[in-house]
Amino acid sequence: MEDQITRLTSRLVVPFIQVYGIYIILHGHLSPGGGFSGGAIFGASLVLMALAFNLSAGVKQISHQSASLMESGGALGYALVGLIALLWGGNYLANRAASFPLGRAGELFSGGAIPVITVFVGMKVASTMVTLFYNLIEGEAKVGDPEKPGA
Amino acid sequence: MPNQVLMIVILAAVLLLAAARFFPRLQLRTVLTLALLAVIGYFLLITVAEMPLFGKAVNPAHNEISLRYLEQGVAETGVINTVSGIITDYRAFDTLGEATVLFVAIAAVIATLKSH
Amino acid sequence: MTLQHHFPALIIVIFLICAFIMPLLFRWRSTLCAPALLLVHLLALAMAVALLVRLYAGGPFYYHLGNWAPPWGIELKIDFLRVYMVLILVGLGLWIFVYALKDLAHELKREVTGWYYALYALLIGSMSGMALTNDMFNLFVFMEICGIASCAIISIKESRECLEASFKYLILSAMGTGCYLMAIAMIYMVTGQLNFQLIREALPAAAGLYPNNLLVATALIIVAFGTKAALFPLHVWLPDAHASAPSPSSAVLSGLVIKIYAFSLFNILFFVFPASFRQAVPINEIVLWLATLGILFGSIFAMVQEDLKKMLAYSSIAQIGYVFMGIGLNQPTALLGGFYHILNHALMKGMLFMVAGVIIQATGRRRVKDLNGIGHVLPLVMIAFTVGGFSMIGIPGTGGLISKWYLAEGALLANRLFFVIVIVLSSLLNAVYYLPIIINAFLNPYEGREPVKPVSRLMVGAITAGMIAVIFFGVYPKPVIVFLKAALAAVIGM
Repeated sequence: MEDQITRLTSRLVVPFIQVYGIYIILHGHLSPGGGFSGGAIFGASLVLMALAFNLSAGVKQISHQSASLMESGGALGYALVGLIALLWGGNYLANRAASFPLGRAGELFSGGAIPVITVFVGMKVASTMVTLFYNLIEGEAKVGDPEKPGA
Repeated sequence: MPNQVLMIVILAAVLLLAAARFFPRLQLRTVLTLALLAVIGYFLLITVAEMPLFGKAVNPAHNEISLRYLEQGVAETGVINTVSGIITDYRAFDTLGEATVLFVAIAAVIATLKSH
Repeated sequence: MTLQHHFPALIIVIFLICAFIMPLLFRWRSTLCAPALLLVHLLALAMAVALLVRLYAGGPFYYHLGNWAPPWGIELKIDFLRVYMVLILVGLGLWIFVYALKDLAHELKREVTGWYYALYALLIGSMSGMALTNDMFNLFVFMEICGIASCAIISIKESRECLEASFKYLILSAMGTGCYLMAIAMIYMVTGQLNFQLIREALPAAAGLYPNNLLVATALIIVAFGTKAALFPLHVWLPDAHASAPSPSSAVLSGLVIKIYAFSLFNILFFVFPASFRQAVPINEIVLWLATLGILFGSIFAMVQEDLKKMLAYSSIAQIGYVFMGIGLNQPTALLGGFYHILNHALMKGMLFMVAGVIIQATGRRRVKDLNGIGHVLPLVMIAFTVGGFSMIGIPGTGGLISKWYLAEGALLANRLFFVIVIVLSSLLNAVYYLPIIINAFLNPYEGREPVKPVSRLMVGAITAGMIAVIFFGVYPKPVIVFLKAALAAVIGM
């Protein structure tokens, strides 16, 4: 399907969606939201690109390799933040007890490990959505019609 | 309780007989399944009726846990979004588990699709 | 604080980290995947031994994740039984993984082996987490990981049956997890706690106010863990799933995964529900009777199977019944038998599935009827099968006898003669389907012209190690028995 309206609209909307997703992730400790919801919004923007254009346009935005890097990196980063807490004298995944600087509550840089964890979770969720979508679409394209997927 | 159970059993038996009479093509298995579902549904309903009412201050779930989360959460975690403070600090290990669930789901999907 | 203090959390976390790295490692340095996972197993094993040493020095202890004490944070509890389970999980996980190193090359496409290792690491890590956690919701999270990973290591094999079996397992497993989540919600609603010990303290008061809620929650918990552990009427997913999976997956699913769910049910029944609650509601009796039915019907179904792996799978339904019988009898000696059977059955069933894998790989045969004379071409492997079969039946000199002996003694001490008869009867039933295979394998001539393919020495070595272990735990059970006796002494009175 080559629909001008869909393509133009999504090209206009995608940057806003992505900024909004990043905002939700970065503001997870200050306002409703967080890694899971922000990551889902960010991932949805990439899925929208692949749906409105075609799979290769989506893959151009974020390649398989970087998706899998984000995938592993997000989860790994989360686990490693926990390990840093060990080095700093707390138990696993400790925050205040491991003397992460908490800052002044309500500011962007506050909450010690929490924003870091939120960013990692956001990365993880966004890449999960994208990877899941790519893999299912590609499986479909391999078995079914060679037409542009999602059209 | 025993009276209610007895009543339910009798009711189910009557329904069974009636169903067998009016719908001769109905299979016994279907009827038994429906009867079982009715019994389970009845028990779930009386359970729901017994549950503590939503939002009452005297409910057991409103205890020292939520009190501390709300009163000292900001000081102890440094974030003003209490939900975020709970899931990524007080119970961060559960969230690590949830992130791992996402990872295992991806691993399962890719493994299955690549092998077929 | 030394690093040793953090071992409880690290045992779980190193498996998770290893799994997260695995896809990247497989992409860029694929030869390092297997050594990395082996190393993680060895590290975890060393940590589990260190926990055991610390337990002997100072008794049970707790680990607070994130330094938050229980009502607010998550707690891991380390006591003798949990460390016993972790040792079995990691130790036998390592053993099965060594076998898998060579076996997977024949059963899987090369490009998915990296994902298999990742799923395997997640499986062992989540099971260790289930064994150690002292928090209802944390247990649920690990159950989710374990459930999805165990479906995936079945569906990873390229065959229709695997997909079908895995789908069936996925649906029932999700139903089990859902039931458990609902049970947690109900228990939290009436007690306001998630920690095992704190729920235990709050339950008596809640039982007076909200009896039906707790009854339904109990029923949901039994259904949830019964489904996951293949307790008798809820076992329908097991035969297909365990029979069609790749052999190492069958070994780990039959040997370890169903055991950890049985152990979790035990943990909840004995450490969450107070004794007064267990007396008011006949939970133990229900588990006991379902286990009895499972023991008998599992064996009867196993007798009529034509496929070797399917027969072994049905036999697992019977054998997990022994573990549940130990839990259900509510008597220290029987519980000891049940716990010893966790180790024994994991060893012998793991070994038998490995043997089946070797037979299929070497000769391509998987029907019980076609195994005539196989002992002449694969002597060492069939000797291991013989030892495993004898252990299932309970012939002296094998581990199976010891656990059945303690179960029967426990049943006698509890004045339940009927269950002694069940145990004897089931041994006879086991003999009916294991002995003919052994006799035919050695006494009949081998028919068939196609050459027997060579089998990797590592696989045969793993099987031999299993055989030696089965005999060792049958001839010299004393250390484990003494350990379990001490560990269980405190449990029953609770």
